[in-house]
Amino acid sequence: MATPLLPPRVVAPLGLELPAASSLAQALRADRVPDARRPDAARARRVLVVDDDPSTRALLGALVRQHGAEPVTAESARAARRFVDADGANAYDAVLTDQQMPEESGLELMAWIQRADPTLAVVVVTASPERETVAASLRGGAAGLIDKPIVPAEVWRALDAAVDRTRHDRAHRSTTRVMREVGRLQRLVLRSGAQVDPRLTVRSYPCHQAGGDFITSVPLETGGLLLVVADVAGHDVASAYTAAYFQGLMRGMQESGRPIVDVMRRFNRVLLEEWSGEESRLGALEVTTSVAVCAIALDVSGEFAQVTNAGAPAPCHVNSRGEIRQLERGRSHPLGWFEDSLPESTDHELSSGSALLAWTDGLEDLADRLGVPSEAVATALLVEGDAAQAVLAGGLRDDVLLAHLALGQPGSRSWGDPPVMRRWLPILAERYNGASQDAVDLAQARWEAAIRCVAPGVASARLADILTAVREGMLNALKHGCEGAADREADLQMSLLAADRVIRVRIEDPGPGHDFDVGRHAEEAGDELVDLHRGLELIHLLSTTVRVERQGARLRLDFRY
Amino acid sequence: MTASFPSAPASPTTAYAGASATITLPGDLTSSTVGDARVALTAGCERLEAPGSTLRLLQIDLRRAQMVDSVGLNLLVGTIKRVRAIGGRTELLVRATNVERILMFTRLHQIAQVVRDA
Repeated sequence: MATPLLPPRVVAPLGLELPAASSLAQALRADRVPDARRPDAARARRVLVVDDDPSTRALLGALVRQHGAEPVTAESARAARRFVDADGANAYDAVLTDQQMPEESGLELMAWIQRADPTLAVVVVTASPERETVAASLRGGAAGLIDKPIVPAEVWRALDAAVDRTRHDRAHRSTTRVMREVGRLQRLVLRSGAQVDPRLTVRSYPCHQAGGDFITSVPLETGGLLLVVADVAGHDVASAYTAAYFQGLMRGMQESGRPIVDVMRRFNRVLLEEWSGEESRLGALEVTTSVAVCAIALDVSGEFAQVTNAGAPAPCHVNSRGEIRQLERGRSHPLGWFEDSLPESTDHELSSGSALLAWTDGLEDLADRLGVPSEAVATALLVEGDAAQAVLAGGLRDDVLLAHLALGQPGSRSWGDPPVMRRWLPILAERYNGASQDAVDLAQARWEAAIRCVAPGVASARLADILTAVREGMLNALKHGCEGAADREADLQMSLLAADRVIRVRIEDPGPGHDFDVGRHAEEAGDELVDLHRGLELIHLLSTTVRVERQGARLRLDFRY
Repeated sequence: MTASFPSAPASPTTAYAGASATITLPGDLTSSTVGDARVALTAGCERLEAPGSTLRLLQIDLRRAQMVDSVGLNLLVGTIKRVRAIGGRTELLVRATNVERILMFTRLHQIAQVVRDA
């Protein structure tokens, strides 16, 4: 039977097999030497022994051989360098070098080796353990120091420590190279995924070399689009593998016509039943076992979405009037947590000229630390520039991944701007109960932080106008609309239209409204105006435009800044 | 929002010089801070109203305020009316342009003198 031709494969750390031609395999090959010289447990340890004195050199060589390692002896630093250049530093597991040698000392040889391969551990042998020699050895990165006269047990102890250190450092270097390449490939995939649909804007801020956060958009056969935002626990090769596996499973099942909820339930079983426990078929691969996923399936018109959420932050919808709606978070947990916690899909009507936003946990963590709403952070990152820089200066502790999907025609007249600038973006969407009037200062500080987050360039005076008007509106809503009752709530939303530099505020309470006509009372002097209405007058004075609905129980205030 | 004055006092302070009393507010004049301001302004008005008082001018120093809301405005209006009732005058010292704008928009400048300190 003919042997089938298969592409040559490379076995990566953690048992992954990769096509040899892949860039990832090449990153691994950078650490490779011919098998006979590989510093692994399959061959004898090889130690380079350097000493100008023949008898000491022979003694050390014998001790190395007695300890089960293969000695390669050199009579000088120059000879040692020739060996390393010829065989490669990877051919050696440790170096034992005399310090006092003519022409070039052991410390000088060690410095050369550190430059050539910092993972190769060097032990310095010295007849006079002067303080300066010891200090210089340690500063130079020596793995150990042996005093003459030579004691075999000390040599063996130092040798073992040096070989262990070499192996540890080389394993770390190999993993680091793999991680860098995995991260580079992930970013390539992320960019190419985002380019599939021009309506999609992705912002990615990794703070690890590789990880499991990903965004993917898949055109559906019906003409719609499936957007998936996911966060795999962990930031290592295993989480990157898990992310890749999930995406492959998703695409495969999607092409077979299976809905995303089935994909997520199937993967939940994979994580819980197939990948958990020491009996895993994947052997040494330590798989992360949880994935937070939010999948949004849009119909061809873009006016209907089905959201399936498993432990991810709730996606946000902002319509063409700047009204914000959280597309409710499902009750399920991340995949891989519980067998009986299965994601369910919920249906939502959208509107033309609106936008959908979805992000991973890293953004919410950043928002918590900055003390601003997640929506404001998302908007700051989308508009980029000073706003994004200020947010990122807060420091990332987790990867941040954010997607913005523009639906239908934009509302702004600034057609030349990018889609994110021409649509309403969320700043804040909060609810306050009627009994929270005393906490208005705390709330005001939060509003200020949110506005500064998305529009750091807003002038202080204009910011003060906005905050004064919002404060008036909210106090009015809580005191009159909610009648100060703890079981009645008023809504406050803020959104940004970056292209037009407009902040829109929407305040709504459950009350019946009022019959005060600001326009009719405009000419009344300050001291004649009834105290009750001074707040409403301020709102009209400070806002660029005011829209009054439901007899004042719903206000829409625009502020151009 | 709080003013950026160094070492701003925590409570309103009152100073008397000749025929004027000056009440300096430590920061914003809003529903949250109006309580202390009301006490100081009431005391100032009572000094003006006292029999034999030579005080005729009440200066309200709002230079540390970045924000004045409707509750704060109501207090100012009430104070101005009270001073006017005894034949006195009120001056409002301001620094923030938005505070000055609010006082002008709400026509308080028609019943008190608004002085902007640049």
